Amino acid sequence: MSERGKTIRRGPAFLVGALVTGALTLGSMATAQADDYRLYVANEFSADITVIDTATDEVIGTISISGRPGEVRPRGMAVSPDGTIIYVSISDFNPQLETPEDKIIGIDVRTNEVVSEFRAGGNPERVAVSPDGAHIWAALEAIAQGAGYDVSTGEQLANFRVGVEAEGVAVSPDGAWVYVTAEATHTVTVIDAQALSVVKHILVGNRPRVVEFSNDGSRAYVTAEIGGTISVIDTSTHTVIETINLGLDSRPVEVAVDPTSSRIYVAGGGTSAVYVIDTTDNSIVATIREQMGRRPWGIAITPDGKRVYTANGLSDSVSVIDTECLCVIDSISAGRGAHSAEIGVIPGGL
Amino acid sequence: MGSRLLRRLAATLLIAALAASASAQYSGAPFYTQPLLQSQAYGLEVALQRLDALDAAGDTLDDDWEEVVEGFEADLPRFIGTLRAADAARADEVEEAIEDLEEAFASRAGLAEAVEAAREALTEAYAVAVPAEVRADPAFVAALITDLSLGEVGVGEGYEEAIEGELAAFTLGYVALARVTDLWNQIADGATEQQRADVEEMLEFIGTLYPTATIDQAIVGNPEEAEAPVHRMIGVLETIVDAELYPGRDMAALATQLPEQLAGACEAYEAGNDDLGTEIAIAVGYRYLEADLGDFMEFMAPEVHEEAAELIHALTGLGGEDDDEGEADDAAADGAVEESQEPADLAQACRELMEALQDARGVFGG
Repeated sequence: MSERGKTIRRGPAFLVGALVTGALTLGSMATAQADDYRLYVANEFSADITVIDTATDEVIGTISISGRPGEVRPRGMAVSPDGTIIYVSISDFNPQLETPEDKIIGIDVRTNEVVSEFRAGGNPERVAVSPDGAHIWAALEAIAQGAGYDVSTGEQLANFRVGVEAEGVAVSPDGAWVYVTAEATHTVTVIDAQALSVVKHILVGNRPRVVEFSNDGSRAYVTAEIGGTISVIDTSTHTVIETINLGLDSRPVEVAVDPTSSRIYVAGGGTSAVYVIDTTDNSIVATIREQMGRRPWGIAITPDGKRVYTANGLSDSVSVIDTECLCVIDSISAGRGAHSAEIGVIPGGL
Repeated sequence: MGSRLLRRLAATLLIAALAASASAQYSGAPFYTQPLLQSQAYGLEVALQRLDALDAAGDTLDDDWEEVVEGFEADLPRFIGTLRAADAARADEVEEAIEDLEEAFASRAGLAEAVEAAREALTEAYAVAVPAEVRADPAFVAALITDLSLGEVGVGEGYEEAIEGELAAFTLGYVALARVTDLWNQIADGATEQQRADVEEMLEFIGTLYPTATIDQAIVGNPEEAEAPVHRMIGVLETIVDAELYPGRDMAALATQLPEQLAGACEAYEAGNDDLGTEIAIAVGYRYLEADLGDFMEFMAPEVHEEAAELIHALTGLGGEDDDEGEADDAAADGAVEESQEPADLAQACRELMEALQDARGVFGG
């Protein structure tokens, strides 16, 4: 899922660009426009992406991913460090089929057009972007691999054997580590992204789904759907240092790391709830249930930390959560089988 | 193997930490407290399921169904030893009924009658092998639903295999869903209105995937389409019956339990009670292979897994066939027993399996 991009951490490449842009526009800084945010929801069964303007919480477009809904599906997404490209992993429903549909596409947030596409055979389930935006990492479910790709050429950099049924993937904010989860072996594989080698495998909770790094990169959070837990990993030693118990019926999947606070938000598909966790002590500070859609699976937070959006797979909807009141304030229709959510940015607005 | 291997494992394996298990949220754990009974009941259920499938297939039966019929060879050893100890005549009746059925299938003569006779024998055997008070326990029933839904001759697998072109598996999944629905109705009174609505919504959805008993061509779609709602249903069932229904949720606990359980098999083999020994070995081996422990061990400690998997296969016929992706021994899957060379000394093989499972437990640090 969102991996580190969800929090729109802006890396060095962005900063250089921002400085240039800033120099050119210095005179008009006083009237600079705020960024616009777009929510992207990958709809597994309708094979499309719902685009929502977070300023109005209205659907402003639907991007078709394939003419074969029910056979081809978009799943995990990630966003480039500057927020302007949304990457979507696309695969055939049947993991045994090695089809041309197994690929990763890039969508320009400003135009909602597909601007890049490269092959990622092996049923890519989720993707992550390196902090410099140069590399994409994918969890290849059918062939139990984590693979890196060069964004500029689409060439595969490397691939590594990970646990069975690879699912989630994230790149640490410093670009040093890639973590890949595997559902059937209940493991996280740690890849050294510079040396391009596997460092270790970590046993986590049962059926790990998604992994996300904290803003400072010192921790990684891994949801365990059957375990009903979040494994907290110390990334300096790559060891599980704590397990947060959400309840066996919680079925946690995606995680959104608040870029403005110490909170993380966890989509609880089993209980149709969002768990709000304070990572300073890993306590559950709130459980949002009222007005939630059914089976929230995907979750994303705006870069300003004010809104959280969930992709609700059983109600084909998006719930909008105000992070002040920690309550659902709106519901938006999405496509069939809303799976993942990601936030894109239009710097300076349209 | 033993300590030398464990030292090697300690040096080479990079297990960073154990996942702390979730707190004991549910009071029951049938797969831990009565693993042999669950295994015996599952064997009886699957055997009955095969009969229902043969009935449902009707005129569509062809040679592809041979595998379904051969599957009885995997079902009976799950319970026949206990049945024989309780009622030898009943055990003989079951075996004869299945032999008659196999002959009827081969000749395509008198199959309906043979199916009915086998059903009667198995139904009576069920009553003997599984005490009435156990059959009435909601946690037991929910565990059966779990096995029939997620097991390798179950609802989820039937649909997945149908996509791979295994048409008979679809019918097995269809009848498994009917049985799951029947079992659910036995425990539905214990559910809240919302829980009941949730479970029935899932059953209804799965029912749309199984609109007919038979299909004449492979399905196109998502192989996991049935499994996903099954998981959701089981999650609700856990809260309804207040019991843990995922035996592999805490793999370290499972890795601890399996050798303890296997001790009974080794004792039985030592005492010359091979049928009971094999019953227990099947219960242990199936959980090892099916609750993801095998996948985990194959990934993290392949030498340990290879030893365990070979011995499980030798003792029970389960497993023994790795696929290309490194997934552990999906052969438990078809419920079919592969031809395996039975060890000359079953007790010795059991002791070796015990050592392998203890090594597996050691991988978790215990």
